[in-house]
Amino acid sequence: MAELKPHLAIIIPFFNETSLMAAHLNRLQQFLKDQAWAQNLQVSIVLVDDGSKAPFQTPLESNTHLLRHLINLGQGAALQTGIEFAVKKLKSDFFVTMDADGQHRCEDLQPLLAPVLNGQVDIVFGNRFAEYPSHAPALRKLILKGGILFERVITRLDLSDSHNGYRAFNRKAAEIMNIQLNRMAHATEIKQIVARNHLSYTEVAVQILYTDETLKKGQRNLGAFIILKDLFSAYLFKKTN
Amino acid sequence: MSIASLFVALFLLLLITWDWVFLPKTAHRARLLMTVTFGLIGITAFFPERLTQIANQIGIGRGADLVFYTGFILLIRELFLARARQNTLETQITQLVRAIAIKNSEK
Repeated sequence: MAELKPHLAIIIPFFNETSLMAAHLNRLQQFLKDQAWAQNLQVSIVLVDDGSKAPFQTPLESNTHLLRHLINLGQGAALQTGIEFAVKKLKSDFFVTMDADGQHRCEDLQPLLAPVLNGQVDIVFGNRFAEYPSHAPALRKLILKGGILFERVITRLDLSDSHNGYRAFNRKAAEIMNIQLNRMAHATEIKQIVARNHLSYTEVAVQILYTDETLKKGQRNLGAFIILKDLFSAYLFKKTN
Repeated sequence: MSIASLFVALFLLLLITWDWVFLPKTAHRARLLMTVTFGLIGITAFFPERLTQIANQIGIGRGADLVFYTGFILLIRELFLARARQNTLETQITQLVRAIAIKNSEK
C-alpha cells in the first residue's frame, strides 16, 4: 500500500490583481514541478479571491482550488478562509501563506518550509531584513522598523520583520489560527496568537522583490496608522485568541 | 423668554415634526421617547432659571452645563455601544461570506 504523502496547502489571497495572480500562479506551478522536495508532498494551491471586481478566469490545474468572497473583507479574512478550507476540506498537514503579487520568491519556499517539515518549530516567519539587502524605499523601511519595535513590545516575540506575508506553519498552528482582524492588522494578530498559545517559531531569510507595480499595489505607508487603529479597536472590543 | 430660547424651541419643534412625519411607523415608541426628550429640553429653554436652580443644588454652575454634561455622557456611551454592535455585525458578515466561499469552492 502506497504511503500517503503529507499534504501541503499554499494559500494565496488576492484582490483586484488577477493578472499578477495568474502570472504568479503559473510561476509557482512550474517551480513546484521542478522541485525534488515537492515530489515528497501532496501540494495544493488555495487561491482566495477577496471580492475582486473582475473574476479570475485562468484555468485551474487539478491541484488548485479557488474560493471567492462575495464582498471584499480584507487580506486577514481571506487568509483565514484559506486556512479553514485547507484544515477542514483538504486535511492539510502543512501550510504556507504568500502574497499574490509576485513579491515572494518561489525559491524561498523550501527554506521557509524546512523547519516546519522537520518538526523543529510550529511556525516560520519570513524575514526580509536577514540576509538580503532590502530594496524597500527608505520611508517604508522606517515604518517597518517602527512596526517591528511595536510588535516586540506587545507580543514579546523576537522577530525582525513586522509585516511579511510569507509564512509556513504546521497543522497544530493552523487549527489554533483564528484570525479575527480582517484587514492588515492581521499580521500582528498572528504574532499575538503565536505568543498567547506558546507556539514555537523561527525566522528565515526571504527576499522581497519590489517593483513599481508591486509598490503601487502594496500597503500605503499611512496604512501603519490604520493598523494601529484596528489593533486598538480589537483590544477594546473584540475577543482574543 | 429670550430670542435664543425661541430658536431652540422652534428647532426642537421642527425635529419632533420631522420624526412624526418621516420615521417609519414601526418606530413609534422611539419617536415618542424622542418627543418627550426634546420636549423636556425645549421646556428648559423656556425656564433656564429653574434649570439653573436644579443644577446649583447638585453643584453645577449653570442649567445649560447640566444639560450639556448629561447629553455628552449619553452620546459617548452610545458611540461605544454602536461600535461594539458594528464589530459584532462585521464578524457575522465575515463568517457568512467565508461559509459561502468554502461551500462554493472551485477546483
